[in-house]
Amino acid sequence: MNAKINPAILALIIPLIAVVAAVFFLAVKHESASAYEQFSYSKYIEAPKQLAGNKYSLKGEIDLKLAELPGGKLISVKCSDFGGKRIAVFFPNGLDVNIYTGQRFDMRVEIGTQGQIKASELKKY
Amino acid sequence: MKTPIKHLFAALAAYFCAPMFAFAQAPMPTISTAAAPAGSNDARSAASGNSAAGNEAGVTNNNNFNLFENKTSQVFADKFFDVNQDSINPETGTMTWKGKTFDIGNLRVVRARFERYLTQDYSKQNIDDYQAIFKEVISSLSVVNDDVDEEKIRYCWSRLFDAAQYEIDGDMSLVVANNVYASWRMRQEYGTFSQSEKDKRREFDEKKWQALEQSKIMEYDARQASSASLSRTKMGTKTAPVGASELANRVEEKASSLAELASVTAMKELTGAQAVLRYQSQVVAFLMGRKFQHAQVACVFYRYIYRGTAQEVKVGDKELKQLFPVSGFVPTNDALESLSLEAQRDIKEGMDAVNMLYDTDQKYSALERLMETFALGEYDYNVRAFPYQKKVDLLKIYKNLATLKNLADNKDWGGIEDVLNNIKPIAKDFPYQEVLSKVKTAQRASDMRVLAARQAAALGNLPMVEKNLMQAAEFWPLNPGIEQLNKELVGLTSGSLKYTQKFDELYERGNYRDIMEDSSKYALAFMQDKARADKLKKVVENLSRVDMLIAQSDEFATQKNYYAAWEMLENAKNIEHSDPLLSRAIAALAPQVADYVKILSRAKESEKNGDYAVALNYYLAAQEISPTSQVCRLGVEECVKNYRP
Repeated sequence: MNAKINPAILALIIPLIAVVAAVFFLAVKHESASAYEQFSYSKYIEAPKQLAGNKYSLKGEIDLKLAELPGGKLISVKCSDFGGKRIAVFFPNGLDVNIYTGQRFDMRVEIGTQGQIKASELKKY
Repeated sequence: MKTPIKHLFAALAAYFCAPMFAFAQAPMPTISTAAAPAGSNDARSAASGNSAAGNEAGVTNNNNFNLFENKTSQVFADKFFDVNQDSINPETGTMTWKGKTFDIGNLRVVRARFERYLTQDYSKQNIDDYQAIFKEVISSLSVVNDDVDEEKIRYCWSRLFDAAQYEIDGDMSLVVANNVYASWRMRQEYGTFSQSEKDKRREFDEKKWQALEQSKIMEYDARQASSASLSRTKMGTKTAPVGASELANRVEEKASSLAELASVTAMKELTGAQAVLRYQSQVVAFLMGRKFQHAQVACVFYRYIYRGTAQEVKVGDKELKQLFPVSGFVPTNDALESLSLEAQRDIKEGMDAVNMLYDTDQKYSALERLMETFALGEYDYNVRAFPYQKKVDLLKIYKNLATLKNLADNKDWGGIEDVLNNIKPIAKDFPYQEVLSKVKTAQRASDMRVLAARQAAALGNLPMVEKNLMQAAEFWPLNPGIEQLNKELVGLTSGSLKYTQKFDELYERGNYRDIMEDSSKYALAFMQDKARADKLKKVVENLSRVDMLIAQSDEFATQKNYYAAWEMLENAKNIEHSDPLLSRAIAALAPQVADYVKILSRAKESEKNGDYAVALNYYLAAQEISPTSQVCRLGVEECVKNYRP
């Protein structure tokens, strides 16, 4: 009664599962990175408040801590895609990431009503 | 504060005071007027006149000491001489030359004589012929000539009268001739006295013999009478001695004759000694008076007039000790002649140097050497024969130097500049630049004090005004800036109301620059008005800071550091934003820093609107352009402080 699985079929199924898993993973990843538009330094400098409420993806390098504020840190970040121009980004305490000068992050940021740039997710890259 | 002016004076003393040391008065020798011929009245008056000048020198000498009160002057006085041996001592009024000390007396009078020397033209006096007479006399009476007889000596003596005909001689040759003549006359007197002495001795011997003979006769008569006297005694009669009174008379005549002999002998010896001493005195006087050629001629005559045993000099112990400061030294006629020759040689070498320097266009050095040589060889032929045209050129330099010294004494640096410009073309070796730089230093120091006084006046600090003006006057009493400031200050005291109204109008309109321009005047006018004085002080302080920042901005702009330059103007703007000078500076620089200014203005505007997050990012952006910007740094700090997440 025991029906044995043909080894040949097994040999086809395993790589197929692996390929499907890989495609799924990549698809998920692509969806998370491309979910937000890249932050534009020039647009921000030109009219900061017009970007209020928008969320962007920002790649940058930690420059220096400007201030320790209630609820987080204010840090200047060098924008990797804009020749290292610096902007002030607020990192809330809940991010649970150790931040040091020179670290590079792909971060999700949101522009506040007063033009504040607030980080919400961080990924090293 | 006195250091720079002290150095300045030390340097000026070097150039202007030093020459004065070389001009020292040498008192004329005391000339025996009794020995001078009838025609030498001029010489007598000249001698007495100079003697009077010498006395005056003694009286006024102290007045000159202020010229030499510092060591620097002394050092520069010594530079004319070998400092190890030759020097002038202005305190004692003596000049030491090769270990011999000459009394030079009143320096001011000698300075005048030097000026007179430079103005006198001896070329018309045929100096070479005059000098030829001396050469002829000296060579004729030279010891190498074996055939010097009385006739030749008399001929040489007559040539002295020829030499005295020249004005340049100053009748000094007559003095020598008179002494020679006096010696001869005294020698004749000596001979007369000698003959008289012989006669007196003969007479004495005769008297002595007569007395002796008389005494012998009396002895004989006495012996003859002694035998007869025994019988007469017995007879009770006495007889007086025969010839006693005659003998007494003879003895008296003998004593009288002896006294006359002694008198004649003494007169003879006195005449001889007197002639020697008189002649030697004149030779020493010539040497002391630096008339070396006449001293030499006198020595040459002396050798033939007096015997070898009279060659030792017996007069002028004190003077000779000055001339020959050697213990145990026995001066002789030859030593005095040697000294004269040595001095003449030294003077000739000095004048050779003067001519060489002049001919090589080193006229300032030539003048220095001439002054040095003049001190020793004032009466020497070589000094007198110096060409008149050269003296005229050197006189111009000398007069300018004298003027320079007077101006330096009065600290008239403005006048000195003019004189230096006069000296430059005629004395190319004069240290023009060195003097000029010291003059400029003094002028600058004075100007800085005037500026400080003006600033103090602007702040109403009267004690500082007074102090700075006094210091300015100390550096440069004739500084025109001092007079100008004084006029301004004096003028203000009489019109304070006018200035009060004007100040109020300008202050109300914010025309601070106009206030600043006349700040010193306002300060004086508001001395009793504290409120306005405080306002004025604030205006002056603010605009001074603005001016300083504008100047710094200019400096940065010159170095192409435009952002730093802008930074300075930004700071100035914070102090006085409406200043027209500042506005002009900002307008001039703005095109160079347009990008920076645009970002910065946005940052400030955002900050002003309370958008600190935006302002912060603008400041960071501006900092990218000018990393050293103080405005950006302060802006970042301020925005971070007010940042709300």
